[in-house]
Amino acid sequence: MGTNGRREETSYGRWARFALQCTGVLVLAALWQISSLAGWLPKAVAPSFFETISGLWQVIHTGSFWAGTANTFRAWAYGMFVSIVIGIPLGLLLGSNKVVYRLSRPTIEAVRPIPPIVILPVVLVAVGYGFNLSALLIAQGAMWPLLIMTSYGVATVPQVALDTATVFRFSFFRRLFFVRLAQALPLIGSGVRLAAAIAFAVAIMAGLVGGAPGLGQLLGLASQANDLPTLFALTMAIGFFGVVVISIFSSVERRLNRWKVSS
Amino acid sequence: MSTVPILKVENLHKTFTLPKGGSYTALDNISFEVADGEIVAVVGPSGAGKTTVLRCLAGLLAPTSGSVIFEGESITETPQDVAAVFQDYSRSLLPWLSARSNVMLPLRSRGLSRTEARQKADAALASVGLEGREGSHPWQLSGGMQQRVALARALACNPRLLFMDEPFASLDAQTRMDLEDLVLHIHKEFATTVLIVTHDIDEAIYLANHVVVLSKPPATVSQIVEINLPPNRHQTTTKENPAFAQLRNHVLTMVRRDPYED
Amino acid sequence: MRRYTSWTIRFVAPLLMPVVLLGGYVLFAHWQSNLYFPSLPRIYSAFKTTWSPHGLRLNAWPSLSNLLLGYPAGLLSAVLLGILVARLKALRVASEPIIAFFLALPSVAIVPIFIVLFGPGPGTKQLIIAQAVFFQVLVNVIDGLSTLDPTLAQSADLFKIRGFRRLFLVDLPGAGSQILAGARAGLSLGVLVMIVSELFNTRFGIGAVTLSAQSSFDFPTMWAGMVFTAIIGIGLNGLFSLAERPYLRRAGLLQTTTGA
Repeated sequence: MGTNGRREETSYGRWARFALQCTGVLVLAALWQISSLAGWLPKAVAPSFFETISGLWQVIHTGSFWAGTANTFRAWAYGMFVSIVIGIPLGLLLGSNKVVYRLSRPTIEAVRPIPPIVILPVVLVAVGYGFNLSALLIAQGAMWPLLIMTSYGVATVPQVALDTATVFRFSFFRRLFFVRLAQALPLIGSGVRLAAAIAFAVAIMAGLVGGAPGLGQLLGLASQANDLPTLFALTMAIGFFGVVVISIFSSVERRLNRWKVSS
Repeated sequence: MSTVPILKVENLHKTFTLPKGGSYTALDNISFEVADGEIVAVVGPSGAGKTTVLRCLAGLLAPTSGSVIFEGESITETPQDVAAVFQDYSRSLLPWLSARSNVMLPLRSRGLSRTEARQKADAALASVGLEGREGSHPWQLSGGMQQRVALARALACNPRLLFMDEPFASLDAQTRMDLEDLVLHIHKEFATTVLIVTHDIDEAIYLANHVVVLSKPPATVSQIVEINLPPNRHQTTTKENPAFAQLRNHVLTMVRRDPYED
Repeated sequence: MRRYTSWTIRFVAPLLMPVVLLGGYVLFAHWQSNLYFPSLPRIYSAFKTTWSPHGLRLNAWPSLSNLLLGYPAGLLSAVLLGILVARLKALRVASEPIIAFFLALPSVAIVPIFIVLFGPGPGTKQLIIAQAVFFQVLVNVIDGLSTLDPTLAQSADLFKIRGFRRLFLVDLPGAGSQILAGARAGLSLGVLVMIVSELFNTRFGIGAVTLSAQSSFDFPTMWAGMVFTAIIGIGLNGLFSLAERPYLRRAGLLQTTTGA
């Protein structure tokens, strides 16, 4: 925590870091196992670490798990595609006109904190249980960060950049793509990362609450059956998938951020 | 002016290990002395490691080898009697505290009572010409005023040695001249020893008794130039002085030696 | 004239879009005459009956009281643990994968485990809310404290500001905007899991009443529930903005955009 300028030198090397992180995970696993062996975690209620791992091992050998994974990610990809196709151009549109931006921003800001589950009931009655429910909820949930980040990024392009474009007589589209969109790219990158994470969470939620086919639905079934090892295993698997989604999109974001002028 | 060294730098050497392997030698054998009551400026080509020198001296960075001796003792951490002014005033002052509270904070952590600290803080702020602005927050002050607050914060600690790291580099030329004269004024009034790191050679010569010229990295001391200009310095007359121009020329050629050599 | 324009921009313009959207819904509901999209007056009357003082006590209070307990609990424990972890670099590195895992695990997905383990009572829901908030805030506290502005840290080191004075006057305010961002995200997440936790074996609560209206085809009440949820989300976010104002003002982060 920067308590001392000297600290910056004692930063860990790559391998030391990795070893330390592995240790952290192992310690947590050991604590979990020990506390269930010692009876601090009631064995009848919470499975131990090894029970969870063996549950995970069994779960990943079932066809329904992989079918669920496929369904979740199909809905995720579809929802992401729709939200990108709508959210980014709409954000570009809202952000590049001052008047439109000022008129729409308060509403968008107000809508932002509304949880994405709100529209679930009406979507449920309108499209029924199933893939469409999932895709629609995901697209809707993921669209907001994209819309907000894109419009914000496009609207806050430095005046110097716009003046430069004017002085060099850039055409309308050149201005839109090479000045506004390019400047907004780092923020759009963050928007896409946020959208990907939200889309994954909504995909799980749609299955769990709305019964759409996928990992969330399996989770719901396991909890109804009181099948704790499977429940723990599925939750763990969902966490891993979440880590994968977020790492992929974080690296995409970093790539988009690379050319950003660092001061 | 006495010539007892208050700070002695001996064979300072600093090598950084790079995160992706390999190393970078920033400082290679730096030695010089700062006598009690004088102003010493450190100049050098861009990227010469001027700030690294200062951070080693202030105990913010551990040197790879060599020693920094402050008042006869080797420095392992920032000594009590040292204060500093950094270039980035907007970030070295705490924006959520008023000017007075900013100055009070180090005094309070030195154990002064609230009233004592407050008196000292107000006096220090007055001595840098900020009377009446004690309650303002940094972001309500101009850049020059913020740097005055930073200077007041340093002075309030009654330092034996005051470090200044490119203190005026982010200010406009006129404000910079005002603050240079303020430093000279304070130096005269409080007899504070000052070590200033700057890239501005005019500033270095104008302020200092000695100018330490660093080479490009790995940095060594190219020369220690004695500035024998008349003590009462003045922005126009001193800078018109032929001796000033001569010194300026001398230092500048050293700093900019063979730019296309490689 | 100028007064008038600035007044228009401040108060009328932000309302333009909501009015247009609302008008759009009225027309849509009118042309559709679809059961799922009841007319505005019908939603309004359902809203009045569902969220009467009695209704508020019956259904809103259980949800909000869970949030009222769970949110501060999660926030406070995250700040305390975050301070500890940020100080110990080895612990910080070692906990990175664990925190990354819990951040990536959608907080909705952990709801069934809690429900099965601890039953559907209010304590469980508070716990669910607290843990969702916890990880969201924790990561921001750790990150904010360990990436403190180097100039700030350097001058605090040099002037030997240590201990609680350092923590409360330098480090925490320095990480303040990031901690607040985490706390705000945690609030949104808290509202989300508050609703989700009520969709399992729960009779009372904002989420429960909305979903049960949906399954009994009482669409105006369903809409009343949805609108109420949206209002809660917006309202709490607005309260949060009010609450963080003193900090932002003192840190000089509240200046209106004066061009850069």
